[in-house]
Amino acid sequence: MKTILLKFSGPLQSWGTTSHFETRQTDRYPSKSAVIGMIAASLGYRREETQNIQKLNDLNFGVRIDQTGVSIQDYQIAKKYKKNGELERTYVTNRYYLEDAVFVVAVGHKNHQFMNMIEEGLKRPYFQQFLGRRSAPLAADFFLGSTKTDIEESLKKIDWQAANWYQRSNSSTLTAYVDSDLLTEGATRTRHDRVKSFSQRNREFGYRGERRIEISVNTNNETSLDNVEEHNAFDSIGG
Amino acid sequence: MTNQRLFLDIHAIQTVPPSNINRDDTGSPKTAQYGGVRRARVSSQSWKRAMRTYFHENSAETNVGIRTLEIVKYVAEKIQAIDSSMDNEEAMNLAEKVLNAAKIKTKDHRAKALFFLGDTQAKKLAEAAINGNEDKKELQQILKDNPAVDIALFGRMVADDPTLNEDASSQIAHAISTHAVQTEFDFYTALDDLAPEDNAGAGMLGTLEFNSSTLYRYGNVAVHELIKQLDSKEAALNTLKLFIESFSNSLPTGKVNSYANQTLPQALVVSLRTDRPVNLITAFEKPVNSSYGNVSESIKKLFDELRKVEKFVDKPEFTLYITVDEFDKLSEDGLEKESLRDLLESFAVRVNKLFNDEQDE
Repeated sequence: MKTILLKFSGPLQSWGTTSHFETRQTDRYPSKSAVIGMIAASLGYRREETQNIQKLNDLNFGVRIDQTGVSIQDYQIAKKYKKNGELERTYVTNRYYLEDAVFVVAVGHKNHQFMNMIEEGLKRPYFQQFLGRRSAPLAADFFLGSTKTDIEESLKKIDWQAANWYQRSNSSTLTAYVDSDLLTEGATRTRHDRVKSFSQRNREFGYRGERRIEISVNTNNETSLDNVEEHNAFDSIGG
Repeated sequence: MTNQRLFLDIHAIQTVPPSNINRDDTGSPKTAQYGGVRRARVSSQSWKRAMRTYFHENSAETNVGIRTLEIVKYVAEKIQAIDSSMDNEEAMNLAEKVLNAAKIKTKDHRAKALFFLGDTQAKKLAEAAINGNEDKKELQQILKDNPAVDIALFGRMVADDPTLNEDASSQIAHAISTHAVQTEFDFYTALDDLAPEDNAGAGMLGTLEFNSSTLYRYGNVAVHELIKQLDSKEAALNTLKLFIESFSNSLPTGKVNSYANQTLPQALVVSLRTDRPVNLITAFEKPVNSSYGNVSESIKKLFDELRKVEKFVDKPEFTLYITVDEFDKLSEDGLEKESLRDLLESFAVRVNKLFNDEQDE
């Protein structure tokens, strides 16, 4: 088993699984399809490479909410012109984002070769990666590391990644959502984020089950770039 | 070449005085929370529009292409560049013929709507015209295979026909302030010049919202992908130079007549990387809190962060920068330039060398 842990943070993120037309929603935490999209982009897969992309559904997936973030609506207009240059109509679109959120995302697989390829891709991407929308790039410290333990164990052991100001005023019991087939207890809920196709002609998603777990984490973790070398979050996991 | 990665990173620190360049549906300046505090925000789509406008206005001089009604003349010039024996009228007719064959409608040697024709597209159409190619499919393929540089760079979404969609090779982040802001309210009255003498009241009153900020702006280009889209290193380089220029010199025009907030960046940093693009927003997660202006402190933090991320990523091929102030050297490899023009010249020399070295291998 090899598991890669990623930190999603920044001013804006957006994780829509039910968006249509002019209203683009966000969920409260990243979707598996978005992370698969990020990995596919990193590996240089094009939208039509459906077989390669679908294979990434085999990855085990979990996400921990380290800093909940704030929901915001972003107002945007787009103008459509007729062929002769006259204005046809103005579209008003509302895009929803999460501000100031931090997540730990875990992807894993028993095939180490497969995971090494993904790790290399994430570190040296072909297409730019982003947090749900192109205008929300990753931060430089997004790659937390890799472990030899499974998704649940890795998410339980990794230190709390929230900013210090957040840790001081929030509970250290975090919520995580893990692929339902990786756990035996807890209610399953379905999410519309199993990738079938990213093609521009026909984007298509199926359903995936996930289960919720609560995780108590260590506090007082300095998470700025200054402390990366001094503080090795993976000592406790043995990764 | 398939595994080659080449990313252009561009960062700017730019102060914007009291203004409201990008507002929401209620007229308030856009904001975002980061590091637990509220920041000023300018959305990526807003700044991208300013960049595209700049792009279109300046694309002819930089040999990137041209947005014009005069596309017939533009192609005719390319025809004459290949075959100098051809006179003006002959070239114009030939150009019009090839454009019409590609199903671009013209009238009196002019396009019916503004059209962006890339330098490469025009050259290839000129070649086809000289070779007497009138095949509609082949000519349209020339246009399709060589997307106009602005579409390659900024992407295109056509709701009616998804096959025309093009994924952008650039990525522009929302600009956010390096420090906390509070939106302020400007109360104003307007007087009625013809009001009776005994009416001392205002004709109308209202409030405008504004804030002032020092912004961190970030964008990048997947250069390897842009070269593939444009099928030409020369066109890609010209496009990158104009991209840097438009990133630096453009500004969204929201309420610009009310506030005259035209500014330019106080610092501009350009890097070329072979591993991944690097966004330095983390430098400002802890907000800048300075009692003597935020610019110097923001630039210092940006430079510090650029050094720190070397723990995570490879050293860039090169880094060029300009600042309005005296600072410690950015790093051993960072090269300070006198002006934007100076920076662009140096950028071209270095990128050309990189492209040539690649060919020699």
